Amino acid sequence: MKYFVMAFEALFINKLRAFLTTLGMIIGVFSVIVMIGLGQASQAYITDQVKGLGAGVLIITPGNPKSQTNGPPGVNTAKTLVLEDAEALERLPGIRYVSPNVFLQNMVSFERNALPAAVLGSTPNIVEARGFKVGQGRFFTDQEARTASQVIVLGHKLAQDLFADTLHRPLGSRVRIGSQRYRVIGILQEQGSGLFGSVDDQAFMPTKTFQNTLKAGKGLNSLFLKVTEEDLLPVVEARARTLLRYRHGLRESEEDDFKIQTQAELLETVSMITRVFTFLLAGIAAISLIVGGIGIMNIMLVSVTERTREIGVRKAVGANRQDILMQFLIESATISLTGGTLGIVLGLGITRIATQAINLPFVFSPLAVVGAFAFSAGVGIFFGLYPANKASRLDPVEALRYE
Amino acid sequence: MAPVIETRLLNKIYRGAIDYHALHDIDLQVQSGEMLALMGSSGSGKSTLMNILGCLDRQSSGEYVLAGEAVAGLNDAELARIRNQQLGFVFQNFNLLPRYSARQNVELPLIYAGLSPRERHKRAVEALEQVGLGDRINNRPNELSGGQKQRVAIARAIVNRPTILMADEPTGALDTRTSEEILQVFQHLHKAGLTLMMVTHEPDVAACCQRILQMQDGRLIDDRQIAQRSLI
Repeated sequence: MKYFVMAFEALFINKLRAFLTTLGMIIGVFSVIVMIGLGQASQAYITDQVKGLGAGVLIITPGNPKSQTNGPPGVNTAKTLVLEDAEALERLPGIRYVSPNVFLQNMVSFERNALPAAVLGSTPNIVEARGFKVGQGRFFTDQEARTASQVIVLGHKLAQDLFADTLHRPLGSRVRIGSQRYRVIGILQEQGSGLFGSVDDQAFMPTKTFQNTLKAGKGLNSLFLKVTEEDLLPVVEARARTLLRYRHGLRESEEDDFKIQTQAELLETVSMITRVFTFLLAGIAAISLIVGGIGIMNIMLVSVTERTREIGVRKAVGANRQDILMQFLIESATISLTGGTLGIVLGLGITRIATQAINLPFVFSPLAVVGAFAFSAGVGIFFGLYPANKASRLDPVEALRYE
Repeated sequence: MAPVIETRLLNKIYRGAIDYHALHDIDLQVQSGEMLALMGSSGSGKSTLMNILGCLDRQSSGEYVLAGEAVAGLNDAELARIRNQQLGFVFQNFNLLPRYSARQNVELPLIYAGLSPRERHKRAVEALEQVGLGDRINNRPNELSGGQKQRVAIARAIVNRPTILMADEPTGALDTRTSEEILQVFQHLHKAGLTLMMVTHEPDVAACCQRILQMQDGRLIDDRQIAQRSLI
C-alpha cells in the first residue's frame, strides 16, 4: 500500500512527464482494442450474412480448390461453370432454387455521369438468398430473367451518384453499360458493405441478359443452390457433384473442376479469414504497445538517475533493496495500468462509434479487454524491472554523494 | 555496560588498479550516552569510518559490533533494518527530499519501519517539535532556511529513536550563528540521553563534544576526553 502512495506521489510531481509516458500506453492499448473490436465486428457481420443464406444452401464455385489459392468467393478466374449447368441442376429433385451469379466490374453511365460499378448477373431468388430489400420499384421477375430483358436494379448509392445533378428520376430511365442500355426498374435499400462487397455500389440484372449483352463469356462466378429440406443437403451435394462431373466430362481419375461448399463450410472459411485478419491487425497494433513500454522504461531510467540522491536518502533511513525495487516497479506499473485502462475505455468508445457509423454490429469482447489490461500490466512490469532493479542496487554511499 | 560501538582491527581497502588502504586497524569503543567528534584532515578516512560505523558501507576486514550485534556477516536487508532502527544520520547538505514537506521528510524512516500513517504523523510532529520546528511541519525544504533544513534532518534522524546519531559535517554548510543553534540542538538531545558522533574539521564544533578522536592517513592517532563547551 505504502508503495502505491509513493508511486502516485512521484508521478504527480512530474505530471506532464507521467502523462506523456501514459499516453504511449494509451495509444498502444487503444489501437489494439480498436483493431480487435473492428475485426470482430466485421467478423460478426460477415458471419451473419453467411448465416442469412440459410442452412440448406450449397455454394458452388468454379475451379479446382486444390490447384488454386484461396481467396474470397467470386474472384475465381476459372470459368468452368456455365448457365446450362445451373439449368441442369435446377432439374434435380429436392432443389428449391438455383441462383447463378456472374460478376463484372464495369462503367455504368447516365448522361454525363459515369461510375465504375460491380455488375452482377443473377436470378430473382438472389433477393431471398441475400436478404435484399427493394426500396423503390421492384426486382426483375422470372419472366424477365428467362427472356433476358434489358432491365437493371441499382444499389442505393450507385443510383444516387448516377442521377446526381440530372433532372431525371432513376426509375424508368435507361442507364448505359458499354453500348447497351438498360431500363432501371428498381433501387435497393441502403444495406452497407458485406461479404460480397458493398451492395449499395452494385447493379443487378438477369444472368442471361448479362451474358447476352456484356460479352463476359459463358462462365459463372458462383451458384447458390437452395434445397427444399436441410436433411437433403448431403444427398443433393452428392448428386450435384455427379451431375457436374458428368456434364464437364470428367474422368474417374480427374479431380473436380469446381468446389461445393455448404453454408457451414463457407462460414468456417470466411471466419477463418477474418480471424487471421483480426489477429494480424491486432499484432501490428501490439507493436505500438511495445513501443509504449519502451517509453516507460526510458522515462524510468531517467527517473532513477534523477532521483539517485533520493534513493540514497531512502536507503540511509532504512529502505532495503526490495523497498526501492517495489517503489519503482509500482511506479511503472501504475503508468502502464493507468494507460491501459484509459486506452481500453477510449478504444471501446471509438469502436462503438465507428461500428455505428459504418453499420457494423458492436461486439464487446471481455477477453480482449482482460487481455489488453493484463498485457499492459505485463509491459509495465517487464519494462520497469530493469530500471527498478538498477535503482535498488545503488550503493547508498555513492548515491548520497551523487550530484 | 556493553559499549554501543565496538570495533576491532577494522580495515577498509578500496580495490582498484592501485589498492587504497583507507582505514588501518581501527580499534574503537563508544559508550552509551557519549558525545564525540571525529576529526582529521580531508582524506584522513574519517568519512569512510563514519560510513562503515553507519552501516552504509562495509569494512574489508575486522570486527564491528553495534548495540550488541555483529555487523560483519549481515546481508543488505539486515543492514537496512539496522540503519532504520539503530541509527540516525545527519548530512552536511541536509539530503531532504525537495518535494516532500518537513513532516513527510521526517516520516520517511517510519514508513520503512512499517508504522501506520497515524502513528507516523504523530511521531514526526513530536520530533519536529523537539528540534523547535513545530510551526513548520508543512513547509517544503525550499521554504526553509539552512538551519531549519538541518533541524528537519535532525528530526528525521531521531524520529525512530535510534541508539546513536551520526552527523557528517553537520555545520559545514551553515554560518557560525546557525551552527551554534544546531550544536545546541545536539547538546539538548545529548542531555536527553542520546549518543552522538559527528565528523567535523572545525575545532569549535569539536569543542562542543566530550571526546575527540583524531584521524590521519586511515589511523586513529589520538583519543581524548575534553571539557565540553556547553552552549545550553
